Amino acid sequence: MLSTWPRHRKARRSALQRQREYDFASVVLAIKWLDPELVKATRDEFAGSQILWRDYLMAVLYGTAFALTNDEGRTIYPRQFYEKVSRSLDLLGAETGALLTRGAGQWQTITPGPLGGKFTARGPGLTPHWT
Amino acid sequence: MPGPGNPTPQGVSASLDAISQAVGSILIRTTDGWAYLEAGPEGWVLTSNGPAQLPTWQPPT
Repeated sequence: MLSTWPRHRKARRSALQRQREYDFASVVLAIKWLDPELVKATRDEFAGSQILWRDYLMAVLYGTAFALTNDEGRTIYPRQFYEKVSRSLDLLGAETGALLTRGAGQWQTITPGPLGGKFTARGPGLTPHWT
Repeated sequence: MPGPGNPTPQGVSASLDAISQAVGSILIRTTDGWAYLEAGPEGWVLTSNGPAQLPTWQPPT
């Protein structure tokens, strides 16, 4: 039996390839955990079309498609979109436990209250506060 | 003023819908990012669990 030298070895996967495989596995797993009603709505929406419902959900979860709204008005958004919104809100505040409220001039965060504090209304025109 | 490239009230609200679409939700910052607190039962009070902790709905005392 002849053997060749040097033996051909499969090229190592790049970091980008590994990341893509990880993302793909994550999306496949995420679809399995989606609300069954949303999955059913998606299947019904694309039944008989050229687009496979699973491909569409993958595109949504990858952030490469627009959000999907079902007949009841509920919408699922790409994960990347949620993260973008969350990062934007971090401009107002990023302290754990902070609440978002509308102040006199703009939307603002209210820092967490003291232990046992109660989030209390102060009436129209004033933001609630911890007492 | 709303226009091309400018945010609109509907656009901002729709963006926040990515976090929650449930009526009565309150936006709250968790360790992982902004999330929502579901509306509490009628009469319950949003009560602080201290700094760096998330508040919870508790019955009135």
